Amino acid sequence: MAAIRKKVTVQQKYGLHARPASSFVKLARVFEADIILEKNGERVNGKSIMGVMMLAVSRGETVYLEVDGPDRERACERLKSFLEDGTDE
Amino acid sequence: MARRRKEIVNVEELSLGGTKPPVGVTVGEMFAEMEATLKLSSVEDNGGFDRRVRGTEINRPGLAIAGYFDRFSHRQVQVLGMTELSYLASITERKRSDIFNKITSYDGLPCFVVARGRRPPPALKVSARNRGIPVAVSGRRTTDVIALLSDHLRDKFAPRLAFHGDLLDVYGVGVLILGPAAVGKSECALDLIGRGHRIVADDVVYVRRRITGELVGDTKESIREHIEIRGLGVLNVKQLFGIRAVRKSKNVELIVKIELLDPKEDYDRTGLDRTVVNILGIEAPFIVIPVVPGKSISSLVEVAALDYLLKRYGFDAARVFNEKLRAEIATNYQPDKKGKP
Repeated sequence: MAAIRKKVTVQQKYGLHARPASSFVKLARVFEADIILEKNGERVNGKSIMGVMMLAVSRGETVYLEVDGPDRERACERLKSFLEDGTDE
Repeated sequence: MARRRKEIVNVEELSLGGTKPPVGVTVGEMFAEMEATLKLSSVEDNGGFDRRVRGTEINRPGLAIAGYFDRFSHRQVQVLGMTELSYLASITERKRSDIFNKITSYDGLPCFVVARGRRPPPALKVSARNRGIPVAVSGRRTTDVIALLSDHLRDKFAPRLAFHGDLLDVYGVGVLILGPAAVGKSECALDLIGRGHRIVADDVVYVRRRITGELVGDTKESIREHIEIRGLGVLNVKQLFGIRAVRKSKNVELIVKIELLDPKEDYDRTGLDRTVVNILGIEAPFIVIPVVPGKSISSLVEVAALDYLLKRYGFDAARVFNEKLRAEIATNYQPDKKGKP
């Protein structure tokens, strides 16, 4: 029952600024699993908007999703496609 | 006297893990942050402000200047003091420029600092300019330059942990508030700000251990002085409440975890046992406050901070109370009534 760790390239045109960051967090909060977003070794809680914005992720940058909890498979899949599809840019 | 039990909570369950130590501090950042402390009178960037300092050691290049280059620590900040300068004054201009040509040819040399407000030798200036290495002049004595720089760098490279939570200065006590997302950490922080306390970090708290053994908490510059409250969005605390409501960093002394009330959980009722978290080798007192409707978390955090202060000044309320209770029990005890001694 280890955490899932996935490498993701962010596709949002203007990166994870306030709007997409808040949509990401909203989506993350739907899941029970603990979600960590990591960029350059900096780790933040994926359910916290300040944390996600603090990473200042721009388009094309690589981040890691680390998801652990009963619904981790689905959470990881949904969040990964959120970032890769450039949702809510 | 009652025995005090001590429980140690695993920090892994509370933190987001270690953050990678920075790969380096840029020379530009270092000089900007140290400008006042080092009394920098002139800084020539020579286009090399993005060069990185990768360790905490400082080098005095005396031996290299004298021609001995085995083990020349070229990746460290090079501080020139009176010894170097007076030796350089005793040799010819030709030799000076040869030696600085050689010294500056080493890859990864971050920068030079000349101490005591002395003018850098022209040969150094020329070589440094050619290779794009910054040169600064400090008004301080050589030993002070080395001590201050090394202190600054040790702080920069200190082991760090990241926490998801809030850090506040409550009556002078640094309180780190942790807990799951949406439990009300930021709301509690806002409440505490309203009561006159000061916020250091919301959402992301970095805690590092200083060489002196203190835990120091701060946050990333980009989110400092901001707080996010559901329903209100991102707020600027300094603009809303003024300078009294914020501070840049604070020693972390007390860890408070807020969680939803679990009726099965056995919360501390006596305050006799001590629970601590080991953070980077330093033990900090740890308390868990369950959230119950109608209970003001922020006033509980205030009282926890005051009780911590009281203990630090030598008064442990729970213990004193229990000692009185035990004394009373002892006087009430009448062996002949119950039979057994």
